[in-house]
Amino acid sequence: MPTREPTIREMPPPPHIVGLQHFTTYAEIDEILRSRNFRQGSHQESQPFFGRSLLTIDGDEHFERRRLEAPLFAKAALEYYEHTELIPLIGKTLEECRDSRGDDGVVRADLCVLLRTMLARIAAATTGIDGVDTPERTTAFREYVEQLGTGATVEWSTEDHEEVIRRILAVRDDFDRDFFASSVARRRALIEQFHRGEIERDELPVDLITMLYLHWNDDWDDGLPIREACLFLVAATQTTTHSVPHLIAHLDEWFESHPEDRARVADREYIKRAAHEALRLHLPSPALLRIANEDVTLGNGKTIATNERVACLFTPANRDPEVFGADAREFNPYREVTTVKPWGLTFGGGEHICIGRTLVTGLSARTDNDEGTDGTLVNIASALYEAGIEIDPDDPPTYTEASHHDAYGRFPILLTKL
Amino acid sequence: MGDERLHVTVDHQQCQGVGYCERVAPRVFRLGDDALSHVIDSHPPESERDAVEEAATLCPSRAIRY
Repeated sequence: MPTREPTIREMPPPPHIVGLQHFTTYAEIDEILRSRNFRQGSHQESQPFFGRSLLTIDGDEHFERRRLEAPLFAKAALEYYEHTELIPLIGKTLEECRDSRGDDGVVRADLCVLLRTMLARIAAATTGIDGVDTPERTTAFREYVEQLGTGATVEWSTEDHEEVIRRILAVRDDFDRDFFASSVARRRALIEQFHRGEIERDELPVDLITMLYLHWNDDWDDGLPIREACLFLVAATQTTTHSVPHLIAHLDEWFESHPEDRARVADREYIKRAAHEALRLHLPSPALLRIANEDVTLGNGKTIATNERVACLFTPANRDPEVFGADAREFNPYREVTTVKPWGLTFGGGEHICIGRTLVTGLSARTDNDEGTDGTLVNIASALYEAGIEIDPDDPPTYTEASHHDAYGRFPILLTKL
Repeated sequence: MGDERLHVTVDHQQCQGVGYCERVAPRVFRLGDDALSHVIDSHPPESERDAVEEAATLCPSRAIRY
């Protein structure tokens, strides 16, 4: 049987953070992210994709943009996305897998592709992209989002960065032609109808594009909506696409040493805890950069000079034994974390905490004391276990070579109960 | 029928001290010297409901309950 790669790897720092002062403990990174003495320092190369988007703006501008977009992540909106867009598409995607049954009667798939398909419609719904309806259009949309993600994370690419930017800007033009422009046109027409009093406010779609054009700010350039939309499309899919393969790999390994837990895959609370561990150990954004607005001395005495750009390394911070216990480097779905979120810094901190976090973790995460949704991770992983997911023993998963991210590039699976 | 009056709390283990709550609902929340948000009126009048709801949704760490 082919050997599998280890589930936990040591990842060397990517070239774009070499030479910067690095911070690696949970406490110091938490302090930097909360502090008002720093501004965003990430995404300098990916400015063509993210410039002036929510990700790269600070202070009052960030507050105003976040206020405009927050209704997209209100409880009612999250419930709508999950029940109307996500869950039906998970079922439909798995149903379509039956058609690819092999001669041996077994259904095989690449989990990475399957996940992007399952998430396509929820990404389209939150952003406001029309026409992701037929299998062909869903495939085309999924491929656009996948490629836009390559541009969004160009800093981490192992390819020539200028070539990646040039290629993905051309892809974005095609995406504009095939999906974005018509989606914008329909929404702008509806907004005009609303302003003329022909339709009510609640007849307008609740999505990013509508929000941007309904509350248009003359300080924005015409390219802002597609940059903000690309951010939403990538962010809505990236975390779950990144995390589910790690979750499946870890649980597979865990069940070898804890066979009594195998039956617990039907327990959504168990899956949720396991998913939190996968999120904690394998960060979709393993490092963020910040720039000091003034000379700063942290609580531990370390100093940062005015305008110094520093790197916050989330992977070691999320494996910090001071916060997560002596076995912090290991996967343990029974881990008890009381002082911080169970996923640690995976969604960032301070004002730049990921606005879509609840889309992934749901609103019923155990530290939230709330009810409402389970999030993309638990819904998808539960459906996969119900479909009898097993890692293909003859074709083990492999990590991506296209980036410095701790991400799987291929993850062949069997769906034994389809 | 239960008591439907607003009862607002902030989970200080989750609060990041960003202060958006104070900006949208200044009669209910105030950032303290400890850089955390504090509820200054835990049972605000009904007229504050929309502001509290917005603060809860806008809170980056979702630390507000009501």
